[in-house]
Amino acid sequence: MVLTALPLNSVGSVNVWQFDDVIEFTEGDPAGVYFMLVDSTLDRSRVPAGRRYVPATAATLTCAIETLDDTKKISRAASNPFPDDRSIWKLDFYSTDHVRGTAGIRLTLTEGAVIRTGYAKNILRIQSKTCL
Amino acid sequence: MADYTNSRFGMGSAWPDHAIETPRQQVEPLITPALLRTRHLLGLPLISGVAMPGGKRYEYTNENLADFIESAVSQAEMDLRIDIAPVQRQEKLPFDLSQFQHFGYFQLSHRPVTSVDQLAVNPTSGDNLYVVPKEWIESAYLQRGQIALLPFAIAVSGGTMGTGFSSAGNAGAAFLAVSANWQYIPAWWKITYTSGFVDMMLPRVLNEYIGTLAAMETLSNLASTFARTTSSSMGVDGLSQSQSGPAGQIYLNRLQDLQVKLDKLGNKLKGTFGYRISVGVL
Repeated sequence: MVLTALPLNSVGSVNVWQFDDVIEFTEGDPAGVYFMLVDSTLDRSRVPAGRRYVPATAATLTCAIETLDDTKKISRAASNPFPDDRSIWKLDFYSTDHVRGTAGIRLTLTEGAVIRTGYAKNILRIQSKTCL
Repeated sequence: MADYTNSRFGMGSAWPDHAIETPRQQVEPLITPALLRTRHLLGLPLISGVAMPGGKRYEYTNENLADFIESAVSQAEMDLRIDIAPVQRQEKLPFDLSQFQHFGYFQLSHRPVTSVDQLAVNPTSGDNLYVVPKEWIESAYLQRGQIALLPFAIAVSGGTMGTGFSSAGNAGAAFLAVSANWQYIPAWWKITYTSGFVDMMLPRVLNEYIGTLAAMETLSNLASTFARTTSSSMGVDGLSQSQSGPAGQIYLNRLQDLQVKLDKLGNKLKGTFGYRISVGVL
């Protein structure tokens, strides 16, 4: 199993959402980023590739935004917005976050004693709030 | 990860060169598959020329394009000899008396440099013998990988005029002694620095280069699926019909246009961020 995440857009409910390539927002804007956990080793011919992965009840997911600078690094828990579908998660960004540019999310999924790690490459595209 | 609290940053941004303010957005995150389609593949149906088993033709997905973009980033880093994604590096450089007497001129091997995180005298033991104060590091030409040591500020603020390194303490004494007695010491300096574009906010022109590479890869892959018979003819008694097509050369003109664009962009980018060596004979 290789854990990764597919970004979701236009999320309204557990049944209303669509896949996207990236999630875009502007640096410093509060934003909720939705994504679906998938096992990328399965259903490779599907578009987008990967099979939905539903973690165990009470699983926790920690997300780290990859950046070199310690002061910009974000590591926080994602929430499960729809209890009926535990594959969909939401990660909140706040106005105090300094992340921008192209970034991936490092995933740490804890299901009881089992800890899985994964990576969603380049799924964040955060525009700079300045021109530089 | 890295701690930048004691780093020395360059003057202004890497792009626009040395800019500290501008009203025009000139950097952006990495090109996406959707942007690749609109900027470089507009109007082209990315559908395979041959049918898959089952009769369906393969249509290139955004995941395919994202993969081509990733490859293009790596290729661009190699072609242009620059870092696109931020990388923190350590490099050892020799002590060269002639360069040292010219204010410790150093040329780092990766560009564009965004910060010098530590500059130390580090002999073979691996321990730092002496860490150069960051205030001594001149960073005006950091984007091009050039740094120099200008210790005047501390010398003056310490009240000791002229002997720039006097405030260095005991370790500084060794530093000075070496500088007086040796012409050249290999791997004497250890420089920790960060190169690449901060947060992968890229100049638009660099995204153009990456997008062009990815588009060429896409079209080249796609063209190969059309590489079948270029012409056919049929004749029955006095009637005949013939047809011909470009087959595998279906995107040849577009690929040639993109190659010309790539060469031009590459030369400009090398001149701005990387290495461009000109050789002349008199």
